[in-house]
Amino acid sequence: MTQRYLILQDQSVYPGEAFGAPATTFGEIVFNTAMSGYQEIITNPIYHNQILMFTTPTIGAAGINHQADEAIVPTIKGVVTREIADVSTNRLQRMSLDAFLKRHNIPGIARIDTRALARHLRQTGTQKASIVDVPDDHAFDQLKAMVLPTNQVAQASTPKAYANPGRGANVIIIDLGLKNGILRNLRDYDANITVLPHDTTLEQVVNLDPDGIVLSSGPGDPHILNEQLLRLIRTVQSEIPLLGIGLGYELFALANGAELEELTFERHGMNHPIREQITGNIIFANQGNGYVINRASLKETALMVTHVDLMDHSVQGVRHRDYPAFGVQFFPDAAPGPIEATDIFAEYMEIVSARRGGSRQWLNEY
Amino acid sequence: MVERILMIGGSANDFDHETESDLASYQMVSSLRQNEAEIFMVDDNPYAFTIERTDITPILCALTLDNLLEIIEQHQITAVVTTAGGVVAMNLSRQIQRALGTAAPKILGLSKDALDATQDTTILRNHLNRLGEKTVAARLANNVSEAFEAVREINFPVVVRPIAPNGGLLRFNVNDVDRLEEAVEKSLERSQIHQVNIDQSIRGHHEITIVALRDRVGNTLIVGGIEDMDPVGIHTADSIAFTPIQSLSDPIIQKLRQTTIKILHEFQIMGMAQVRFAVNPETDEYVVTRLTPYFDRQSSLIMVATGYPLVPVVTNLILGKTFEQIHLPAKFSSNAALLEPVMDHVVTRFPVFSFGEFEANWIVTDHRLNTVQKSVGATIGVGRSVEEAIEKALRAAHFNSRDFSPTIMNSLTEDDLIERIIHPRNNRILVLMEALRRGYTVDELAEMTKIAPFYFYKLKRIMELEDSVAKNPWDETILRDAKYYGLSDGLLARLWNEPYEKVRRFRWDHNVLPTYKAFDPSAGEFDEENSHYYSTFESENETTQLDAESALVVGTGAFRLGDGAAASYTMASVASELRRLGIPTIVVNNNPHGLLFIPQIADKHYYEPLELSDVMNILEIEHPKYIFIPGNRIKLIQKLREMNIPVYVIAKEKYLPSTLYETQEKIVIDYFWDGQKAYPLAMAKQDNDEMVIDQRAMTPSLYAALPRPKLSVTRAGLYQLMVDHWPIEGEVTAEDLRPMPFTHMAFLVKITGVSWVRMMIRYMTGRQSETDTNLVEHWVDYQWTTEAGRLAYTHPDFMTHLNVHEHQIDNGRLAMGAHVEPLDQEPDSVEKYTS
Repeated sequence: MTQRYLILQDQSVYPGEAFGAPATTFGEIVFNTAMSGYQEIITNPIYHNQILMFTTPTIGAAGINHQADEAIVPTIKGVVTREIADVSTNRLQRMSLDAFLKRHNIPGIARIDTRALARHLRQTGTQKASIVDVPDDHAFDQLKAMVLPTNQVAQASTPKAYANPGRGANVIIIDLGLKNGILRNLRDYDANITVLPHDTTLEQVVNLDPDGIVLSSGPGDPHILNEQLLRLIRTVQSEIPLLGIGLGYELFALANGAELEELTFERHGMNHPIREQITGNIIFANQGNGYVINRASLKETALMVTHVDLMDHSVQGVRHRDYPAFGVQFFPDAAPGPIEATDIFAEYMEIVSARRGGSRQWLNEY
Repeated sequence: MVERILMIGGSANDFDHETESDLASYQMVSSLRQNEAEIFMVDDNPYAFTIERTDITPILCALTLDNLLEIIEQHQITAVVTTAGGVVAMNLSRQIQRALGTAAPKILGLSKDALDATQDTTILRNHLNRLGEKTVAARLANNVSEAFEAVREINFPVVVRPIAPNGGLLRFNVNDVDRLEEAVEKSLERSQIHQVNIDQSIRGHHEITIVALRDRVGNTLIVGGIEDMDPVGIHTADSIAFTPIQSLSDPIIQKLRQTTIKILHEFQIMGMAQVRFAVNPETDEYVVTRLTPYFDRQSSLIMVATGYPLVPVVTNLILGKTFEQIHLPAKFSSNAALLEPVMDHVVTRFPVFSFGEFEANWIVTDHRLNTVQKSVGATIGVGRSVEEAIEKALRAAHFNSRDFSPTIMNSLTEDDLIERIIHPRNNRILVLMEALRRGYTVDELAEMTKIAPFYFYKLKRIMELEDSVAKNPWDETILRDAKYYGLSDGLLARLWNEPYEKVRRFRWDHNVLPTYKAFDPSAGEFDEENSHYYSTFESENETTQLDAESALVVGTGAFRLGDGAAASYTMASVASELRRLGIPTIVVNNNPHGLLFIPQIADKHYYEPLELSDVMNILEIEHPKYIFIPGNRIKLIQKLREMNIPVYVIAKEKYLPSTLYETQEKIVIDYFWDGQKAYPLAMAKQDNDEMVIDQRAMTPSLYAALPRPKLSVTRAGLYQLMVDHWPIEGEVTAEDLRPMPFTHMAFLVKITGVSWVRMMIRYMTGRQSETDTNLVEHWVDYQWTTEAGRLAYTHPDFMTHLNVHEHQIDNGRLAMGAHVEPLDQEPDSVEKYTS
């Protein structure tokens, strides 16, 4: 085993053993507390350019099974774990996680005291990190010099529109770093899906005459996306049922005048209770976010809180008072994670169906 | 209105339960008391700990329907708690409901259907069918031709078993037509109603248990999942188990989660329920095999492993609170009841068998594991990897067992090895490692055993590690690897053939030191106050010395052939009393069902093996002022004494034979030794299968006439004199006294109403009060809470469990099935004592 090092911006050094690709890597480090679903997590584009640490001590035991991919290509910068299972015992696929990461040129580091690291990151907050061969001044200088990218969405989004045909409602997904779980869930309703790139114009949307628009989850800071998308949201939300997920939800909130605040450390896991305000029901869902809505800022908006995280009391879902538009901070597509959250899609598709075939008068104005 | 709650205790320990009911009951009482309920607790278990609480009304009597009905009427009981009482309590609650109908007190947290479904699989099956969930296909048959018809519907392989069998459980696994007729005929013969059940066989499927909670308004959460390493076909208690689930992928885990939630809704559970699944590893299809809405070994494991406040939450839920209404002690973060626990460690539970001890007594048992439980105890191993957890559980479970000697493995012939791979025995994990060592491939072994390949890769890693340790003495890199994966100093010493102290020094010299990690239900996300720890060898240590004046209580580990339950009771009393006295108390143990895991009885808990190196590591951090050790840890005590570490030994006397070989009575005189003087406490009479203590036998003249031998020890203790006759012939000296067995201590406390164990601890630590000294001085004038009582053993079903006839076994050794009951009638024994 080759010895390598995980180094952090605050000068901490964690020696470990290399796996995956032997490359040197940089990125923001975040940790996820889920006990299952490492492949779904690694392939989720919300982690684009980030280094991902798992608190569950061993990952990789089920190998790689391509039905569990959340994107065609994983785009994370590195994997940090206590231990990687060096084999695949999955009966469907004999590719190991190690081989998968090598194939995609993603380095990993094992034999890290991940519990110590999680406790450290909890206190110090999300920070820049690097996996290197030698933890010398040069490595720290490079880490310091590293500028976090701001164009993650552009990189994670599809460059071209594509169709995912079905026989049901005409649903558009604006891809901000789309994960496959959203497609799978919409496919369950036989939706006729068109996936559009992040820089889609209003005209392109209107031309498709959608019954519904889904703003996908995605990576990065919601504030740096251009105004075009917010304008699009403001224009269509009164007429076309709109569902925002993760980053898409954050943009929906921004478009309606809410403010967002950055978390000290990003929150990734699937064990927080989330209360649905209208029923009082508690659900669990896969969560992964670095920003939350500033609750006070909602006062001046037409948004109402629909979901609350009962551990940190953060807003986890909002709905527009007047329009068929809503969004959730968490991932309702259950890949990985609890299935009960998929009810969000049922609710959304019900609205889409109910309004389908209604007046399209407003379209003519564009 | 203040609820008047009757808690039904867990009764005697037996093959199907140890002290896990008591473990849950104790915590449940604490939570019920916070909700201002008045609690009556009924039990007949002489080794029960909870019933000695001072904030409840204890009722010591036989657990019969008549007794319970009388208690309900007399005490105007408004609600019954069965959740902590195991199967016995569930049965009784069902009977109470039937007997009293609508007038019955409510059963907290359980619907009638849930209560029924635990005992009648057809009710469970009907509900599952309604939910669209798969169950094991089953048909009844009254004759051979109906059996053939049934098999045409459900296909081979099947399991044939008689309905209402006369005699023990019988199951025939039938793979083809040739064997069917014979199996059906045999089963029909053994059925009292001449009917057989034919089940679709799910042998080889993987067993998964999901533990879940649900509140009054229908919110649910999953506390954890357990994966049995051994497939269906081996009793869950006899299987090596892991939590969290290790070898399943997320989609199937989520499906099991969803089904569990559906089932809790269907049965309107308020509180906890566990759903058992059998998952076909080839297809990821599953069937539901069981619903368990009460505390048992599985929930104990989850409680211990996750650090989630399971019992306090369940107690609030059965009282009708919602999750959001639950206020936990301040050390938990707000809404911690609602946080689904995530683990950053692995816990494994190993079964502990007693075959070796039986054989030492020339009793031949059948070692082969099957659907009937054979283990008598369990240990856990906690680590940051599966390998580390296995290593720790292995040394906790088998520290002195002959069956686990490596030389036995070397000498197995190839045929024997294959036979043991296919028909697993108690030491199967070593057999599997031996097979890997001899070159069997993972795929071959997985095919032969139906164990997930994942575990073989882990065993292979351990096996390779042990081999490289053996080949490379004093290699620092290998030492680090060995410690990282959980190998003990003792094992290294054995593999290197060097003294243990030398290995330990080498490790110290190279700065390879243990780090303790907290059991943290949030996996590091929240900063919770923690008091439960396990060791590993990583970079960050999360614990420091608790207090310079602390006391460390070493547990008794797994139950074995012997007085496990009584020992657990005694050591829990010791810890609890130390803490009550204001001494910062630390406990270390590895029995997930043991009473030392009650959070309230200590300030700090270590979940560790009890090998010398594990205990030494703790001592190096804690440097306690007192160390309390049960007397059977001879090696440990000796080593600690050699190192000049002062130890307080809670003497563990050998068992008290219950079936004396001659049909002869013994007179037992109990003493309290305060360090200077022996005070007679009680006189007991013992004969076959029972023991009687009676205060009325202790007349003033008898009391005055009892010998008071002088011991040379200055430390307080409980002692016993056993004689054949009264009056005693000849002089009694200190040599005639022996330490009081744990079983007897527990019994004595139950009858007299004074905790002599706690008294002993107060004297040992010099903290006896004036009341104490008065009581000891004037004990003969003191009125016992129960004038007279009997401890009797009912024999466990040794034939079924171990294939041994009970008359071959002296159950005093196993101390299973012990019951205590008060005696009302004037006993004839008074005469006998003094004549």
